[in-house]
Amino acid sequence: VISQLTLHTELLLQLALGIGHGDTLDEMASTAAATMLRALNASGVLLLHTMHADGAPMEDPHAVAMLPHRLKRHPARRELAQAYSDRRLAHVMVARSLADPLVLDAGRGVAMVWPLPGFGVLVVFRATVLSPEFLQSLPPILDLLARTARRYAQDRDAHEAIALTRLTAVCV
Amino acid sequence: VPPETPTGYPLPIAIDREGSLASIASAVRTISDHDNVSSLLVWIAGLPRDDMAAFESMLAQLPRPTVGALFPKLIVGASLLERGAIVIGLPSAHPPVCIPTLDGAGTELEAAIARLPLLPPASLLLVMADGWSPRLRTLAHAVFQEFGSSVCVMGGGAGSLMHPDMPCVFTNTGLLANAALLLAIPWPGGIGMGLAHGWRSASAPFKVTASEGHIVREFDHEPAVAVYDRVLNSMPSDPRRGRSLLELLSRHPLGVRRLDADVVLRDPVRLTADGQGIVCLCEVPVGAFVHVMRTDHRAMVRAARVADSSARRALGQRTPVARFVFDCVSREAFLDAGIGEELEIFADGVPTVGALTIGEIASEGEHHLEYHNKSIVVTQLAGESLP
Repeated sequence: VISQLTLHTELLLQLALGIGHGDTLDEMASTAAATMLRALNASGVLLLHTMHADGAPMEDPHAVAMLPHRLKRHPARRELAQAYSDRRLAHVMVARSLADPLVLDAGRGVAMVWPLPGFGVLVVFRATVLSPEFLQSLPPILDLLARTARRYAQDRDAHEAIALTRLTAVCV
Repeated sequence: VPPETPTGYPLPIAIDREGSLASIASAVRTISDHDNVSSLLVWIAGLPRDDMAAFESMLAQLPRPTVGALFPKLIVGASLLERGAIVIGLPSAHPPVCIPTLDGAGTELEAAIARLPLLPPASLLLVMADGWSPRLRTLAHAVFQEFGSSVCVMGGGAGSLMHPDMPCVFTNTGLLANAALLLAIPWPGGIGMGLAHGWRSASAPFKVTASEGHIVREFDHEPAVAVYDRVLNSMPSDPRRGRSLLELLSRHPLGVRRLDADVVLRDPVRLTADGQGIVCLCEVPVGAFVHVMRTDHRAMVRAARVADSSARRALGQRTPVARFVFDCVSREAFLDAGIGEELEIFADGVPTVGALTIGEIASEGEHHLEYHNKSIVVTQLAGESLP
């Protein structure tokens, strides 16, 4: 049991260290997704940006990270997309907590879906469901991911607002 | 001696058991002339270093697109070939992707791999790479970042045990060292794959606290060799028994733990110059948890059966028509004469070709794609022979 706990601790550390790298939201999300793919021994990771920081749903929910790059062709991703559009998935996940992922059979494995408050949704495709012991340890990492992604999104919005202001000033 | 052209294989195939340039050329010509063959896959063993220039000239003159690799030995059915060639005619393969150097960043490897077109789900992605490159783990991860589990990936490290710097993968344009080739073979009949190694843990887990690429400096903040030595000393039956250090390293690889999956083996090949660190065949990252492993003949042979039956099981009700095998060359060193017992499972009537390799890559269902050492990969192809 101790041996298993040490592995879990190390994986949680790897996951935490994989969050927050890059100059843009897309870069940060890709690095975090790549770390998750390896550390969680997963077959796919999808990070959807579905809501504004205040929790209001976005008009155009979209993926900010998707690994593997050809995940769209993966049977599990296709099955999930058939069962839940990105918009519907975002809506369903609002009622969920970080400790209570949605688990769906998908392809030859499962899709585990977590809400990322104020940002969106994380989907991890795996052969099997993560153990309850490991799941209990994940919420702080997911919370870190949600907060970091939110901050990157806000920074991006701020940069875009500044650029728009400058452009407007120039035009005027 | 003309090449053998055995029947029963789903693809045109020629087997040369001589291994001279003339005999290899003859085997290549035999398959090139075959109807419906659009490109060639060639595996060679025992090509003398002095013949490299002439071999490159031959490659340049071949009438069809050709890719391949030089391996330590070849597998034909249940037997090993120290010298020879296996030439396979492919009716429709996507143009291969050649990665001329594996030194680039992971993103560069991904960009090269992304040149492969969209592949149908029933495709075998064959990866042949320089087995002495310490970047094969990065290559495997880059392949997975692109394709995930949507295709079956089978890979083997090529190269020479005597001459690690020898170029070992080739296209019509010549031989390359520290390079990789990716060849996608659509196989609508179905593909089953199995991988196993047969080693088990002989120690508690240690954390890698210092490593540089493929050199492990410390376990749990102690010199790696001191910890490794202590584990060997604590084994109930003395593993040293007059064995050289190289033998001991080969018999007791490191096992890197994964979440919800069997450990991945890392082959320690020598000690560092200061005698404190362990040089492995590929990267071992800081933070990884590793065990010192052990095995015996029976477990090794059983592992080969497990790999084969996993591949068979993955086919379901479909009938296998051919089998590809990549078997780590270090398993032969361990099993010695017992390698015959391991290969005997391939004498079941399913046409089998393969190679002894320096590192292996294999899809394991929905698990993350990993680079392995000291393992055996079996791929079974089902369905009708291709036209």
